[in-house]
Amino acid sequence: MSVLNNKNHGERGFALVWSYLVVTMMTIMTAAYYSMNAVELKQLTTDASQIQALYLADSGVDQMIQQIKSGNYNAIGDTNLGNGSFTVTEYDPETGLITATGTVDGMTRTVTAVVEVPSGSSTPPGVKASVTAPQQLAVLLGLRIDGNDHDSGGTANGGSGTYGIAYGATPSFDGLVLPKIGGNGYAPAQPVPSGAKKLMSAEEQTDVQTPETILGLASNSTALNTYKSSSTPSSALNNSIYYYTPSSTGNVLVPAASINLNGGSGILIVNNNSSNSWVNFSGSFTGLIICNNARFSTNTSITGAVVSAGTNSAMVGPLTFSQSNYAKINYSEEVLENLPPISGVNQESQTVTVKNWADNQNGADRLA
Amino acid sequence: MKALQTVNRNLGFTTFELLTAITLLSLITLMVFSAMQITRLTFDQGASDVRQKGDLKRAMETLTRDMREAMQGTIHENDGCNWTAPQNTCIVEDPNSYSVISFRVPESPTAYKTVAYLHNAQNLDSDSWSRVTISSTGVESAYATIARQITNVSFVPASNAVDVTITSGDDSITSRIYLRTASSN
Repeated sequence: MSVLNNKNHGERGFALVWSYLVVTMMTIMTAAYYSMNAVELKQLTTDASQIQALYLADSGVDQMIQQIKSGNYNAIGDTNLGNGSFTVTEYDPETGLITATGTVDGMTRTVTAVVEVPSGSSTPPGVKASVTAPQQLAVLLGLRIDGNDHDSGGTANGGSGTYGIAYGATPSFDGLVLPKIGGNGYAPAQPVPSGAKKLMSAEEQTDVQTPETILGLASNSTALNTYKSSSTPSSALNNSIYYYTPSSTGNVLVPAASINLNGGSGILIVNNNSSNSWVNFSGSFTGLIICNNARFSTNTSITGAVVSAGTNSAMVGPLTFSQSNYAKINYSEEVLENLPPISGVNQESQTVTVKNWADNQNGADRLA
Repeated sequence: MKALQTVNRNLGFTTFELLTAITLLSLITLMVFSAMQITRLTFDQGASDVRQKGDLKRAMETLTRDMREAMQGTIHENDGCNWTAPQNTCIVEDPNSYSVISFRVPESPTAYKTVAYLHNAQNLDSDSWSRVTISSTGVESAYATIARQITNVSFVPASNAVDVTITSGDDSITSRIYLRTASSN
């Protein structure tokens, strides 16, 4: 019996030990829960800062793009915004890489973007060839249209330039022996080499709708209004802009107006309300002519480009059978890149194309 | 008999043992429920926070993408501008009711549509952030709720840019957004 008693005495208190073990385990588990929750809360706070830092970095990229547009390539120092700040640490003009960092509460996010900045000035978007028309185009009689590149003096510089003619709809008419058309390395000839003419895509046609779109302005822009006049220019343009609005339409035999270009330069626009006027040009001009339908007198010489803003356009040369008397339209990139600025327009020196915009944390392209 | 008596006496529990067991059980139960309660509360708070941050991010992301296409020009703020037909950008802030930012973006090469973002828009849930578009021909889309739980939205206009701050609960994010579409004049 004493053995039995001893055994009972030995087991007494085991439940207490077991309970202590359970309580200890529960305490450890509870502490672990607390710890996990604390970590999770901290993580959520961190997430908020990360989101804010990301948008601050985005702001830095955005501001740098704006700077590049105005020709300022300098990095941007620490700039406060909201409850944090951003900085653009790098802009590499060679690769177009922008690196911006946003910082909030010690949390930083870095965003990189790759932009494409065309070097120098560019030709107006509506110029697709030496002669461009938004719809059908008829080229008649003694007109020599050369899309190969010329210098500002009208001398071919060896560059292949662009197309001789570009139009938005067929049938377009460029035959009948007399008109000679070349471009893209092809000498002006008749019949016109296929590589010297182009049928524009619908997207390209949208650039050739009005004088405004041809010059890269918004279609509802009022910027050209200041140049409008109901009379023809009284003297040669001197690297300036002139917008003549004929009150009548005229026709191929009796144009609404005759303009002696007189060696002028700049941008000359002849466009009536219905975009169907006829004008006769004589003399020489260096720059861009925007008109509806045009007749060109013997020996007229245009260095630059001609764009029609009409629906169905006609470009008519003189009735001559002597090559030396042809009216000439010679494409010149040099001239078109140095046209006079349009007053009142926010002249952004650069068109910046964003090629990539990525969050460095996961490499995601934010443009996608 | 003496041995039997000893055995019988050991079959029961003493008051002290019972009290100890009950106390321990109570402590354990309390701790378990306390831990469960805290975990549940934290989970709920976490889920709410995740939703809130998702809303914040979505609200800013959609606005940013739209506004970067907006037409440059004068940014009108609380000057009586008509947000349904803005001249460039129009901001209307009424601290007691709603706030709106609307701007024009290209609809086609020759036309523009209006995009508007509204906080606390009429007939929509409180604290909602919604988007509506009005085409160049005046056709208005349905109001789309982009995010909920947006407690405040504020705008600070600058030259061709707007600093936008969107707040949800204790969290707020700010972004400087530049308007990119060239001005019409």
